[in-house]
Amino acid sequence: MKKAYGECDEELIGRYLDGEISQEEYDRIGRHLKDCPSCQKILRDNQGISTVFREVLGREVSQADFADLETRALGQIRQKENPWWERISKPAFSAKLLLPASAIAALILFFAIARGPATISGPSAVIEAFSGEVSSVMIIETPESRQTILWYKESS
Amino acid sequence: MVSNTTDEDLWNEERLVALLKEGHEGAFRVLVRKYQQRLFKIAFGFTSDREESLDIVQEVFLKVHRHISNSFDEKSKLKTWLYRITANESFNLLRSWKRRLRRYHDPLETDDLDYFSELGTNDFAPDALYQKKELEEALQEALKGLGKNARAVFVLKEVQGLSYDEISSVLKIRRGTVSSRLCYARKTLRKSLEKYLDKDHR
Repeated sequence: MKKAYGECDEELIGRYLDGEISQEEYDRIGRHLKDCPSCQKILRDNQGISTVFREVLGREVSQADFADLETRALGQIRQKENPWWERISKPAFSAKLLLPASAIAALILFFAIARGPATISGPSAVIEAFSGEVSSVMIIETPESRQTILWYKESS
Repeated sequence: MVSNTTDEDLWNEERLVALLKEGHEGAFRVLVRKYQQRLFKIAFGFTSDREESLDIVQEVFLKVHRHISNSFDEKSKLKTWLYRITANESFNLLRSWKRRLRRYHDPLETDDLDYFSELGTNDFAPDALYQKKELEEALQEALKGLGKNARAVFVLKEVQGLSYDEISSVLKIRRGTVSSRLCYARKTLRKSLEKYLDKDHR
């Protein structure tokens, strides 16, 4: 419902500030603002918040390392264009992967056969968590032991 | 043949999209340079964290590279699509358990060195600088207190100066909802920052 002249309308003040207003509304709010200190303050405060927010963003932009972002992003797309089944066939990559892959396989086999599935009982706390481009690690501590969880990121 | 130039003026949107669909690396570089700052500001508006925002922007570009051939609707604008992905990635990060875990373990101290790098200039005024920093921190806190819907509308309006119609298109909500959420966001922020606004913006 349209509000009468003289009535405060915060949403309309917002639209006035954003230029999202009809000529009729513009005239109405313009007249109202002249006589309403409380709406003048709302308008002024909205502008003030906007200014501070933009200053923060401007400073963050000036301190962000966009060159590094570009390098990383380009590196990632080149990797995508050179998929893992091609990279794995390269000798250097195979050698680099062989040892950790064997170690992980041995661990899985050991826990599956000798100990059964690992379980966490009682309260636990996260000691460390790291996240990399390829894998993530989390170490948690329970009253009995420390558990390390390792997982690999699958990219679609 | 397409040159590998990164001069943005030479790349209109239609051409850029066509080349991106072909996986053209030069086009990808242009895309990154053209939009990285804008997307960073949006992400920062959500996260208030520089490194997280850079990671979000990188992820957005990778998603564009992977999905532009099958997910981008030619009828919509590229920037609308980019802003939508950025907002979604930011939402995802905010609710990820890894982030909440890390925030919980964050040290209380913050590194003020960057901020006070202005100390060496002639404009140095300790009280004013301190008050400004206080206001900026209060604003960041107040933003965190906004719900994600109100924050999204506020960020898109203030960061990019998008029109209500554009915001409505990015977030897929009605124009009237944009207006009411923006009003709510501003009202909530004013209330949270009342003491600073009375002091600083009289």
